[in-house]
Amino acid sequence: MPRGQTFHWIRVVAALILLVSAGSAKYARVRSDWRELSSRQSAPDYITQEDAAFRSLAPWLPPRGRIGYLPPSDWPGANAVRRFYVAEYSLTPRVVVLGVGPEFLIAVPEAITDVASPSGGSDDPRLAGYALVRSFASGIRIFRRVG
Amino acid sequence: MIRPALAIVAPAFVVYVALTRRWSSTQEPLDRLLAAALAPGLGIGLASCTYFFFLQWTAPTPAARLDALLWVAAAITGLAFSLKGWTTRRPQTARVSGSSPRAGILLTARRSRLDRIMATTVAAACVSIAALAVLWFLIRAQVIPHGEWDAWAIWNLRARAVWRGLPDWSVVFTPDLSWSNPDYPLLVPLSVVRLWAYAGAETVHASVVIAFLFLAATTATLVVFVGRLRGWVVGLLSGIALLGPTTYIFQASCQCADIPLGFFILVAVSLASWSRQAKGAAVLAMGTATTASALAAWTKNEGLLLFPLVAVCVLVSSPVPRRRALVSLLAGAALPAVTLAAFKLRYAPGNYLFELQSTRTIVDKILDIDRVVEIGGQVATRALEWGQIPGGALTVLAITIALTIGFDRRALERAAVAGFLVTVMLLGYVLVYVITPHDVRWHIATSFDRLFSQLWPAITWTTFQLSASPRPNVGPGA
Repeated sequence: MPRGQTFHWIRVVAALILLVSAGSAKYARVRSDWRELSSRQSAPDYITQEDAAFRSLAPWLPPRGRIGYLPPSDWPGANAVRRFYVAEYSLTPRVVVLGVGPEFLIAVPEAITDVASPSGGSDDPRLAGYALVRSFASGIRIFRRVG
Repeated sequence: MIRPALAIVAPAFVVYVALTRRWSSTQEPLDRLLAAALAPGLGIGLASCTYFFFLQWTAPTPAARLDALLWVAAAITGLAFSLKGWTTRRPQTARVSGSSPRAGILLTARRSRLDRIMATTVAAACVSIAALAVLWFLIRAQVIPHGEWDAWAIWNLRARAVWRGLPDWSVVFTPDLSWSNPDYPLLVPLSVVRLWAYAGAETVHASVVIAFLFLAATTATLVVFVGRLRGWVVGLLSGIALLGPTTYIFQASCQCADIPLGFFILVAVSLASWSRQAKGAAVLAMGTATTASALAAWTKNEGLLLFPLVAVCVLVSSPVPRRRALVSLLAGAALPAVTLAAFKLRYAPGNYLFELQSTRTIVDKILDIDRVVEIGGQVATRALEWGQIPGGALTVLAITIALTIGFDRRALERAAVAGFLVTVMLLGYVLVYVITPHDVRWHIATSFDRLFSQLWPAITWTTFQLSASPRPNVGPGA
C-alpha cells in the first residue's frame, strides 16, 4: 500500500474519532430522557394530561365559535400562557380567546382564587352575568352568560 | 397501518419513477440510489400540495379518497412505465460519480485488507451514531408525544384545526390565533392530516412519523450524494457529522417544520450546485432543485428566500440553453409554487414582521449599523456554539474537513455555489433579526437553534465537497 494512502487513512481515523466522540455527547441526553420516561412509568406527559382535561370539556361547549378564557392571576407567566395555548390545541376548531365576552367561558382553577359560592360558581367580579354550567374533576369550570 | 403506509409509499414511488426515467433521448435519469433517497421527502411534499387542492372542495376524509385515487393511479402508471420502459434500450442512470458504483464501500478484490477494515470501521461508526440518534428520537417521542411547545402550539394545532374544522377554513386562520402564526405554510400540517385521513383517526403518531421520515430522508440524501461525489467513506463521515450535533436530533424530535425545511434546502442547494456538472441529467437536476426550493417555501416562510435564489442560480449557471432551463424550472416548481400562491392569496394573514411595524421603522432598523453589527456578532457567536457538542459543531466540522481535505476544480465549484446559497440564506436570517419587531435578544435566543438546524444539512454537504476518500470513487463526473 502506498505511504500516502496509509497516511490518508490515519487522517480519516482521526476525523472519525473526532466525529464519533462529538456525536456521542448526546448519550447523556439519551440517558436523562430515558430516566424521565422510566420514572414517569405509565403517567402521561404534561401536554397529554392537559389535553385530556380540556377535551373532557368539549361535550358541554358548542362545536364551533369563540370560547372565552378567564386569565389567571399570574398571566402572562409562561405556565399560564402554555395552559391557554393547550386549551386552544385541545378544543380546536373552537377558538379560545382571552377574557370574558363570548357566551361560554372557561376558567382554570388558578383563575378563580376566591371560595366558591354555594352554587359552585364564583364571586369573581369578572364573572358577573355568567352562571356555572359545570365543574370538572380537573378543577376547570365552564360558565355561560345569562340574561 | 397499510393505508397510512400507502399515503407515503405511493407518492415516493411516483417521484422515484419520475427521477429514474429517461424523459427524452438526450436526457439521462438520476442515479437510482440518490433518487431513492430523495423520493420519500419530495413525495410527502408534493402530496401535501395535491391534498391542499382536494381540501378546497371537500373535508379531509373524502379528500383523502380522491388523493389516494390520484397517487395510486400515478403509481400504477409509473410501475407500468418502469416495467415496460419508454425506450427500447435500458435507461442508463446518470452516474453521480465517474467510476463504478461498486467502488468505495462496496469492497472489491482490488482493495487491500487495510482498506476493507477501515471502510468497515467507518460504516460501523456511522451505523452506531445513527442508532443512537434513532434511539433518542424514539425516547423523546415517548417523553413528548405532542412535540415541543412550537410543535403543538403551531404545527400540530394547525393540523387539528384543518382535520376537525374543515370545510370551514376560517377557523384555521382566524386573527384570534395570531399568537400561533397562522400565516405559516401548510406542508407539515397537511402531511399529518393526510396520514390521519388515510388512517381514519387522529393520532399523535402521525407527527412523529413525518418528523422521523424527514430526518431519515435528510441523512440518506446526504450520505448517498456525498458518497457518490466524494467516495463512500466521506459520504459516511458526512452522515456522522450530520447526526452528531445534539441540537439537530433534538430539533428533529420536536415535530416542528425546521428539519423538513432542512431536507428541502439540502436537496435544492446540492442539486442546484451539481446541475452544471450533471451532463445528461442536468435538466432533471435543475427541475428537482427548483421543486425542492418551492417545497421549502411551502414548508416555512424562511424557504421563500431559497426559491428565487435557486431559480436564479439554475438559470445563470445552466449548462443547457436558457429556454430549456426555464422550462425545467417552471415544470419543477409549478405544483408547489401554485399551491403556495393559492394559500398566501386566499388564506394566509399578514406576517408579524410587517404587521406589527411600519415600513419606516423597518428601514430605520436596517440603516442602524450598530444594530446590524451587534446582531451579526450575536449570530456568529451562536453559530460557533451551535450543536451542544464539545467545541461546537462548526469547529468539529472544520477540523474534520481539514483532516480529510482533498478536492478538484469541480468539487471546489460545487462547494462555491452551495456555499454562496447557504451564506445568502444565513444573511437573510440575520436580516429578519435586524428588522424583527420583537426584543431581538429574545428572538435570537428562542429561534437560532432551529434556524441553524435548517441549514445544517446543506452546510455539511457543502463542506464535505472539499473532503476526499482514501480510495475515492471520484472520476470525470464528480
